Amino acid sequence: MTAPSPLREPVFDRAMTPKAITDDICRPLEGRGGTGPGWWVGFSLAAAALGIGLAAIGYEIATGIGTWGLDKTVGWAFDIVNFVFWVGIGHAGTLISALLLLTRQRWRTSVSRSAEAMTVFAIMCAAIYPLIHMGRPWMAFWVLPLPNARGPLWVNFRSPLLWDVFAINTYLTVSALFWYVGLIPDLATLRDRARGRLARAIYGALALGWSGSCRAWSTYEAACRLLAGMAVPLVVLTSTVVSTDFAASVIPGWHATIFPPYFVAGAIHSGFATVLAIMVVARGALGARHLITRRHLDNLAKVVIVTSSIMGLIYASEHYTAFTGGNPLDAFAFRNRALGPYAWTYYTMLLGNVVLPQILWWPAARRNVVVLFVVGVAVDLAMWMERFVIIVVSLHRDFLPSSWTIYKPTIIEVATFVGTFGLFFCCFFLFIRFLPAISIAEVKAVAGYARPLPRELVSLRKEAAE
Amino acid sequence: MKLPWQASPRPAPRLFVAVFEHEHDLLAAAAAARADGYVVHDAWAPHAIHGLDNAMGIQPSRLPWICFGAGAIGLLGALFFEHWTSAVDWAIDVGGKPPSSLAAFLPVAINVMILIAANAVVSGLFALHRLGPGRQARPPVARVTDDRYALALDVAAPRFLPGQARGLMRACHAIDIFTWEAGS
Repeated sequence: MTAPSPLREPVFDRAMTPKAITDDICRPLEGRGGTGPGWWVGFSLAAAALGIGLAAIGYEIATGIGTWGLDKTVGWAFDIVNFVFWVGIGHAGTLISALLLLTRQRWRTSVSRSAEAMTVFAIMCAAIYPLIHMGRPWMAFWVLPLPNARGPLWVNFRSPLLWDVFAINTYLTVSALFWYVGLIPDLATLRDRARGRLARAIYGALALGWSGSCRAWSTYEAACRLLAGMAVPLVVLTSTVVSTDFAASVIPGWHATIFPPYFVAGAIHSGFATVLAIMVVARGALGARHLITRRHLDNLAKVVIVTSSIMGLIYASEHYTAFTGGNPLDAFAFRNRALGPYAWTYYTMLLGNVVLPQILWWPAARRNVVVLFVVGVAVDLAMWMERFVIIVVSLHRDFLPSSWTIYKPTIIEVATFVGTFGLFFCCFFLFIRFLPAISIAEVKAVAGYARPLPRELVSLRKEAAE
Repeated sequence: MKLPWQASPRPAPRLFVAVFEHEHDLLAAAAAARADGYVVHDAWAPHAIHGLDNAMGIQPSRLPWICFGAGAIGLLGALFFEHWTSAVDWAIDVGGKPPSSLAAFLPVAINVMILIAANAVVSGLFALHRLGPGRQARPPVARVTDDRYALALDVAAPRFLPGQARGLMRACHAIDIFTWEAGS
């Protein structure tokens, strides 16, 4: 009773029953395949990296910010570079999920769950940096507008740094809500097939009594659409606010009106590249090649071509403005990027962000998982370099040549950065072990896409009944 | 002692339940049952089904209004609070910026608006369908979270005819039909 649609390609290249979808996605969670020795190796490496990071952060908090390589010229470096880097990675999840939900892109269903999880973990990594940069993180609550005994002396709502506090916290909360609401029906599926009493109790508590009632499904879908509708502007707002931390200052290289769209495009670029790189590995490791198909990777790769080209355009227009704007300080800042002592970071950024992704114009490259993985990792590296170029290279040669300096990260800063990768991958490994990495309910909803129209069905059934 | 959300306000109705193997069978059964004047109590499915809202006659959700109200409260509340702290309670001159500036207040106000609206949407979803920690799911068949679809008609409804309902559900490829006390 089903017919293939003449209008669109099917999302999946083979027919799957709901039962098969549940079994396939739940298999890695139930200790049969998927999370074998490879999982333990990956998780142990991630845990070790996290341990290194925690030791570095502990040492830094006990000793002070002097353990970092900052000086009076370069007052912002690894901490803010890594903060912006992780915020950027955190943008694809919500964007893939929310924007593709609103535009009814059915291929999103296989990748949205992991992308949303990545968002939550990446924002957690990002949030570490402002916290430890305070020097006395136990006073972090001072950034909140709480009544206090100093007047009350309120926070300065006209400062972009305070906007950041609200942007990051709101983004983390809304992304986590979106992720959790998406998980509820799958948690109910896990509850109902759990064999152990403990697993049933935990999944049962988290599923909040979801029974699959279609009246609840109707409200649930409305809730998802509303959350998505709010998450999309929130993505733009969060990156914009992060960019105003720089744009609202008067440092040449930062003080530019292009910064908000520049940061939004950069965040989406790095986020999609990360999703691409992780999906290439995860689809094999989870035995989900038929759920995350070549078509999914192909679509992600096409988005990377677009974002990469936008980045190229922005770099070009930045330089054009600097050299034709008539501001000698601006012109110097950009000449220093291309020809100064940190030129290699600038060319790494151009190579990885603009040149290398152009290979994806060739369909053969988009079908090759090795190429996709290399491009994904290269874009992430280049996007990290971009933040380094914007922040450190703009600062290290300031208005007074006697205070020019060369910044090098200390071992503590590098270890802290390694630690954030540890945190990210620890969370990710635990996620794929205990929660369905692909949305079971959403894949089922699009697997049976070739369905006759309800009206025809009704008349057919009623004829049969009479 | 029962907590407020644990109390069951509605008595359990007697329901006529048909179980299906395919989503399009459920869709057809729901539409056919409503066309014949039966009262569709609820349906259960492992995933959202496009078009089932219409087939079952579910009214559009009230959530957008909850979202709008909460968002408006968040936006106006945040703007008022920013104005009060920055210009009324203790106005501090920061680089000569005006104490009360709508443009500078908007980023935080929009964030607070979205934060409160998003929390209200999720709380609204939980409240409308009585979801919460410790709540038990009571579907007519356990497999509706896996690969079964179920439709429940109200037995107490005036136009309910058991024999004809059975025939209609059979024609829609029901694989199981039974009467069920909701909540049992």
